[in-house]
Amino acid sequence: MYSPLYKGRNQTVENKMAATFNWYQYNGADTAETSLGTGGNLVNFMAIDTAGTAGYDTNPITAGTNSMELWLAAKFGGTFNKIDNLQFWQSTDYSPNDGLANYWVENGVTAYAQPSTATATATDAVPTSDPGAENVYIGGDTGGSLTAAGASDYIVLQLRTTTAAAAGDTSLAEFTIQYDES
Amino acid sequence: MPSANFMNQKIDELLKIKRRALYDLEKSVESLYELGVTFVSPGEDGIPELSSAMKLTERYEKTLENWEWKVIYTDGSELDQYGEEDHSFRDIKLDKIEKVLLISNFEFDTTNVEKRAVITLNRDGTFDFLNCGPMELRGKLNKPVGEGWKLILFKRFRDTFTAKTGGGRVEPTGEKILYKRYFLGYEINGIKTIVCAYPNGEVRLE
Repeated sequence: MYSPLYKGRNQTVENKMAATFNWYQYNGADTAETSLGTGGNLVNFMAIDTAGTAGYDTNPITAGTNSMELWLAAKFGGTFNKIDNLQFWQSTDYSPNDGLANYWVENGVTAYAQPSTATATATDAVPTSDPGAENVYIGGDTGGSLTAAGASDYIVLQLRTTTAAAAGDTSLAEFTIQYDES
Repeated sequence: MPSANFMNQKIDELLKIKRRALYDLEKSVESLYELGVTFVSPGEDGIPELSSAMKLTERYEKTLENWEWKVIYTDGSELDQYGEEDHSFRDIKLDKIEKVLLISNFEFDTTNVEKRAVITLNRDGTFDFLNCGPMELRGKLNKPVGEGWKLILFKRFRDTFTAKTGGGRVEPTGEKILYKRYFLGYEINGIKTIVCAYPNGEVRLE
């Protein structure tokens, strides 16, 4: 028989100890930072450099062109021993996905650059299944980790389209990040 | 101009797609629940759906952890992950470990006095399982490896977000899912032995 784990402390969800996690987006020439939160529809692909989801309807991507890059980072706070082994993939594709493809930079980017519609940066296809190994670095190094509050390297996403893309809204594409906390 | 027959066929086709989508939705959500995936609104923490043979302990609402760890030292003292104070891996006195336990924050409908699932890593490297773990796994992990192993103890989080583009005909929506797995094991002579505890109560060897 094990002794009770709970010892009567008036602990609440808010004061429990664990790492906190939030997505952040970066825009403009001077790294304007916007907290996006976690889960749900956090960002949209648009033709302009702006944060979050608003304005996607008035700034759609014309079929055959590319979206403005999304510069994102996973930020961790709270109390933890170590955060490492970040893995990122596109867990759900667009449906239909005709003429739609998401690109990124394998392992992330350490130096910020103003988002662009050019295809020079995000040149790798986003993995469409659990990569099984770290593919987003921390501090630019494989095996990098956080032992105090900090962020992943930049995750740069871009939606490229062809003229085969249907007019109107796409379905939601889903992206997943996985990390280890001790 | 399309014939009445053509229009009926088109309606039938679309109804079939709609009903198939609803069927797939229901089935996929049911399967996700069985895996221990929790759906929550963004910004909320969420209470998982469990099978009828399981129920959450009061403690889950305090910590939102499916499993928590506890260390028993060689002198009999204990360190709870969420005890009088909260602790992380760095607080564990690694050279004084007698046992490391992963204890579930859900209970099984069982005649056992202890209804929680408990995985115990003993000082000699053997594992004990209470209310969890297949027999095959128990057989593999009951051989002592001696002392001097390096503890492996961490959680693995999965977090998702969605994105789209378009002309704004449909308001973007999204959902947040919670899925945490808990790993307990050791490394000795360069070989890792790790047990993974899932939010649905399953236990597997990694």
